[in-house]
Amino acid sequence: MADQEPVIGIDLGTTNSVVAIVQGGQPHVIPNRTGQNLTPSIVAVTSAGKRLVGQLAKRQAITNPENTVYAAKRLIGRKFSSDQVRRARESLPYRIVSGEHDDVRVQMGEKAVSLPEVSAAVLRELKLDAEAALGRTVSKAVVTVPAYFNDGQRQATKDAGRIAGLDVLRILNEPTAAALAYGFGKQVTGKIAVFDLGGGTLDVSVLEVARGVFDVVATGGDTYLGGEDFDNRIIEMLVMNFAKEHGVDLRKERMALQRLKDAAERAKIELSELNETNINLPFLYTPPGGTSAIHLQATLTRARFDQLTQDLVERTVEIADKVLREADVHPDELREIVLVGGMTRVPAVQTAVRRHFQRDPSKGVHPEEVVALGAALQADALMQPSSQVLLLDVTPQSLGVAIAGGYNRVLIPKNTTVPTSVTELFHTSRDGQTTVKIMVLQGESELAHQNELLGEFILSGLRLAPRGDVEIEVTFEINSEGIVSVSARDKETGLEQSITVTASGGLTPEELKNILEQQADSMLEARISSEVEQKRSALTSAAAEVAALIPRVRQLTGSSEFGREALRRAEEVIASARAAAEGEDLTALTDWVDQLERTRVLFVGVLERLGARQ
Amino acid sequence: MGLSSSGGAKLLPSGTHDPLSEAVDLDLDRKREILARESQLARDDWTVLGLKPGATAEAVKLAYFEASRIFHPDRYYGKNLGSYRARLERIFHRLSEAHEALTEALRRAPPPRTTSPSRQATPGPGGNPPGADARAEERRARLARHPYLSSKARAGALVEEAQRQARSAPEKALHLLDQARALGGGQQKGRAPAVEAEAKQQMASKRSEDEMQSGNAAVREGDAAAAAHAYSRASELDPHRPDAAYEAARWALKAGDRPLAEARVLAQRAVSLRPDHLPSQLVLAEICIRMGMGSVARRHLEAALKLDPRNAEAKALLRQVR
Repeated sequence: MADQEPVIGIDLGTTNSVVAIVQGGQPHVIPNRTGQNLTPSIVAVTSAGKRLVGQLAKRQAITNPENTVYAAKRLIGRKFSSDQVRRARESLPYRIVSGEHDDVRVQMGEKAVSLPEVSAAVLRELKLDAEAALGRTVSKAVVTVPAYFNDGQRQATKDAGRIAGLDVLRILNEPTAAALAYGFGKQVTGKIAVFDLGGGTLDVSVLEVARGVFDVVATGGDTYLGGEDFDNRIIEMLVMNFAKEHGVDLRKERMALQRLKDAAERAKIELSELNETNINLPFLYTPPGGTSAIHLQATLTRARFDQLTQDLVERTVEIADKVLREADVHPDELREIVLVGGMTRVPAVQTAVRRHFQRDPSKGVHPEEVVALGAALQADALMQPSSQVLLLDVTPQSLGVAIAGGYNRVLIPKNTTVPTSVTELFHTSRDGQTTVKIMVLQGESELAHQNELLGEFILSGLRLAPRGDVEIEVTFEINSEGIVSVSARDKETGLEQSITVTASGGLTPEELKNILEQQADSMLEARISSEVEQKRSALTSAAAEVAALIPRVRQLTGSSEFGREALRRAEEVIASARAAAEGEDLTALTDWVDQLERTRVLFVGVLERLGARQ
Repeated sequence: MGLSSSGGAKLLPSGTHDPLSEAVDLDLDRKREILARESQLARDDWTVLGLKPGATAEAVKLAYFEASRIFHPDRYYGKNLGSYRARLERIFHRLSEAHEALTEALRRAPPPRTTSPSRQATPGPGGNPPGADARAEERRARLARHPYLSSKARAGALVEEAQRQARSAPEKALHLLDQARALGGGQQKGRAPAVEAEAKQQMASKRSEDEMQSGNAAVREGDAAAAAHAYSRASELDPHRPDAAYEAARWALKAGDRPLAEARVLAQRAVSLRPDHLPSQLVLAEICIRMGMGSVARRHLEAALKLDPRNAEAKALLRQVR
């Protein structure tokens, strides 16, 4: 089906993003317009108000730290008051402010921009890259998220897609995508574990694979453990040493901090290949007294780096172990361990995985690209009925309801294959209770308030009865899109009520609508300005052509009354047309292009007749 | 929180309507297939998967996967399915349920094994095909005579010695392996991890035994929390030890000072290690009840009653979840 619209797969990463597509049955990465496979997930606004995305934004990050937003994935779909956001505010150089309903916004120039909008800028960039490479419009995508993202974070990512003009067919878990890409085309049969350590998150999944079916057995991880934590350990060490030596706290210097961050990341990457690396940051700090600037020079060995980050590495394998235990899978049963994410290039991480699972992790997948390839494969599987690939995914977190005493009663445990449903009986807890409030929770805590509240609804009009006498049947359903619906029924009266529960990604429906409308306006503007640009260049070349004809026309007809009049008119048209080219008026431009064209046709006709006679 | 009431829209058509004539993006054969499978959903797990009772775990898995290819709603993404969407979701849900139940049942009562359990516990890569050992032996002897390769041969000898010691003196074995590694025993890569695993396993089970003893001591002193702690350490050290898992779960439940989820993991482990041990089933069921997982508890209580249909405790608990 060559005429079907292409559907892309996007790995929207904490530090880098990748876009891929399946063509001719094979998945491959689409390089961006500068020829790179990886696009930095960075969005910036310059002092002139220009928005930059990707490599361009990364390049100016050092000189413009306050208005350069990176690691947006750590904030998307979270609450401003949450611990994670509080921690992020301490370490990120750009300003994080609260939205109207405890959502997170980042200050970019004059505007407080929502996180879905920031991520949308990256997604749009990837969409444009794909369109440039494929030569056609792309409007559908599968986007990946860490397995441990909750509904709010998933919804926010979906919103980002909409703002970017992409219909997100499916939100896919990153480790699952990696497993798809790993297993694709191989005759893999058995259980495999995916260990995905990226820039900001750790995800571990166990899958059972046979004949193209990928059955997720268990998934888990930590949304706050990744490469940046490793970088931060290096930064902390450098800052401490600098403070000891020069008595200056570099953490207060935004520009210095940004340079340290870059240098730490580079050093970490180099230590994957080398045993030792130098960190050189000349003129890092200029004391206010006008004395000469201080440079930073340091040597970092791999051994020291391993020591600085040892506990982080330990935590990654502990989490992996926990996921296996929850899945009731013994490491011996695993056929393969697939390492995904740039951070798995770090030798200490590889060693820890090897030691812990007592086998060599499998090589042969590109850790940074495999997730996007998997997303493209799932996109293809959904669109092509003939596809060999089928993914049986699970709910990453338990779903439950709040019960008396402030507890959480789990109805669908995590790692249940979707679509699924479950029905449970509830009883009234007070005498004469006529209404019951059902609070739908997502999370693993036994205490209701420690879970994410997905939504709540009230079933009213229960009959008067002693407590425990009224039975309410509550049915939870999760469909294959991951959408939760809940219905409750009074068993006696048959009174029924149901809702579709969608977590909010931080933007209210109105806010999202406004953003999309603004988007449409600015897109219209962009289209108009590109048309103006086209007419302008048409006008310039038409004017040049007419001007070029004038000398010959003058030579042949200059003596006649008609000739002089026509030449004078032509010169007038050229002058006015060139004046109009300075303006933005599309109608005027179009008119002048027409007039120039008429003049040109007239002159060419005259030249043909007179020239032929001579 | 975005919350909207969908007003309880009913997708199912009225009973008099013929589903075969419903205008959806499915051909007649597929409709028949879906309706036929749907009519089987109330039957036993084997039938639901299209299998005969007694099939192997492998066959269960493949039947589930093959059926998923037909009945998983993703296979019809973007299509107009009408009432068939709900049917597919129901069928697939039942398929996963049957697959899970049968897989767990077969795991509890696996087919007889030919190899001894202690060999089974070591990871696969170390296992050599029969006859290969003799040939490898000969090659190693030849290599040992070569001066350039003597360090590798020595490493090989160390690994062999470690293998002999792994069961009786695991600490010594691990030490020998370290030495072998320092020599760079290249050709031993395949075998060393298996030996190391066995030595570690041995060491873990020794330490596990110690923890069991201190757990027993704590029980005698009447300290439930300390007992739970010691037993769960024992189970962590040797996850294949059924009594450790069972005692750990039981005392964690009694002590009540730690998250129930932890106790559940232990109880689950106890049950999978020893499916015919009735007290394990009961502890797991009780934990599940306390965690509000009625349906899971029910499943385990039913399993318990299969083991002893007259068990009063199981009956009493079952009444709680009904």
